[in-house]
Amino acid sequence: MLPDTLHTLQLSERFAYAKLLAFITRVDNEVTEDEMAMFEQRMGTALLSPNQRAAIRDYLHNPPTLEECLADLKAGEGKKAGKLALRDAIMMSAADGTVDEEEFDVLLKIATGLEMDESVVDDLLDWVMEGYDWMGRGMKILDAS
Amino acid sequence: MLPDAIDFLEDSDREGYVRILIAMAGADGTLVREETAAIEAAMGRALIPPGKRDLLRQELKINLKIDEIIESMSDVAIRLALRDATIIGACDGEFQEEEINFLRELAKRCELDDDSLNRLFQWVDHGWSWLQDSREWLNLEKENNENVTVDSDD
Repeated sequence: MLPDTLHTLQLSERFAYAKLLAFITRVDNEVTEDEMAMFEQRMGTALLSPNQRAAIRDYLHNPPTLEECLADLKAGEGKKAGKLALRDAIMMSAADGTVDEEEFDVLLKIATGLEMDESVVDDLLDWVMEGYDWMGRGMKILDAS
Repeated sequence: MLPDAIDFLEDSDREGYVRILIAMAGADGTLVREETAAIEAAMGRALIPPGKRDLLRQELKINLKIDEIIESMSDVAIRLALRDATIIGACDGEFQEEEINFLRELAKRCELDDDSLNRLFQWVDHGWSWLQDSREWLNLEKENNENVTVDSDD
């Protein structure tokens, strides 16, 4: 929900970003309600039009290849879309509290495919865990859990 | 975008939650792109069906009253809406007086005192720092200077 810089990207870059999230959502061949909610949230943050969202949702049924996703992300003007996509792919992978070996390997492939150091995956996983703590503190303030 | 108690709300509570965020976004009479993105994110997070989202977007054009929205909402849903309305209020960089009044009114409705509201403001601030940390891990600030554009076709 926090405002991000995602909406400042070119439309094609935001589409490529969401396409990678569709790919990562389908990595384990199932889509849970939690994952779907996060996926829809990120499409909202990206300010994709309803038609574009429908096209991206279709990727959940017909997942793109990783190579295709990486090529689209690298076709953009800068590296920002790819970096944000990697970050949010890591967050989505950790949505159920764990990142299994298969998911972790895919995240490493995304990082290297985007010409980033593999260590960034571990750093961002730590960052996601800090986010969980932050969310927990919010619930304590509200006493709404 | 982390797992959240919103997942456990009834459909009617989810709609009320979004309506409160819409009312908050319009509280100061302006709607910036960051607020729109936050509302779209909230509708996605709450898994509001696409057709219903169209109807809710229309409510950005009208002046919604807190009383009417929260009438049938659960206490948990109102509290979650208060939390995320605080995020919306901070979207454009600072809280306007109308936004603070709106949040105070909402906090009163769910029996949260000023101390809790202040802690919520601090919590939002910490969230900003947390998000900023990710940009630093990814060296995104360097990218920002090279690649900031806004499309007119969406």
